[in-house]
Amino acid sequence: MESEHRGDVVVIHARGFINAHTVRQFEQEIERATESGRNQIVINGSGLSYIASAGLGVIMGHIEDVRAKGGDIRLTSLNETVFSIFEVLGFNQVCRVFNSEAEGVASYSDSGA
Amino acid sequence: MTSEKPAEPIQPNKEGSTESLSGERAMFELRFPSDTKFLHMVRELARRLAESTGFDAEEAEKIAMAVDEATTNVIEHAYHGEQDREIEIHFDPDGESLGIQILHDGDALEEVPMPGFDLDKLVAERRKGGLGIYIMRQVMDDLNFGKAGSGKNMCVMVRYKRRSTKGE
Repeated sequence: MESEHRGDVVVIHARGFINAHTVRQFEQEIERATESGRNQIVINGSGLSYIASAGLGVIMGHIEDVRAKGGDIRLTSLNETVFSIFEVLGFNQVCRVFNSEAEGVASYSDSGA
Repeated sequence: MTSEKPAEPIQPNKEGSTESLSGERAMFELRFPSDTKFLHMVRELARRLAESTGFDAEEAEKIAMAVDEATTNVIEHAYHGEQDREIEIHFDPDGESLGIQILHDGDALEEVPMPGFDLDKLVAERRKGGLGIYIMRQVMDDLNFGKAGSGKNMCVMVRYKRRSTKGE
């Protein structure tokens, strides 16, 4: 799991699987961004094979605070498995999902946060 | 999810038809410590087992997801994060379904009724939990909590095979 900056946007590269065992690392990446005052977050899921409810819970736990500060958590490049988990939960109603990282990053300047 | 109230036994049956689910040997049995480091292995095993017993890849992925969530619940809510307790998973495939039991000696768990599951409300409340049980209920056909013949607490889930699993 690593992060990089694209202008004001923080891109978190989620890799492998996020379950109850690995979720803390994922949460730390989000906290690192918000604690440094960066609330425009893109999670690039191209390397993500699976996300359990623990991982979705982290997004749920932070997204309102981030939005209150003018930011958001947006996801990109999800594989079929991960997207189907989103569909099972109706999570695509909570979070905006884009096909590519570039679209996700650009969405912050297109429409504001 | 944690309950003070002891869970009701599931379909007590003196003829033993339910006992075969809880007391006798299942076709596949897995025993492992209650450490989250084994979750990935358990999910992979459940996925492959579901595929090997006739579920397509998409179905098998969903079954594995439910097993992952159920096992996580046991570790977090029945054993409160203790890593050295025992979890037992029984898989009972037959021609039409896959029955799965997750057994443990921790606190009894039960399904918290969630009339009108409201994701927006959970988000507004910054809630991080409560999704796992919803996933289990969405992807499995039957979901029950109870006590096995052995006295262990258990979660019993069944997924039936679809004639066609596409566009369900």
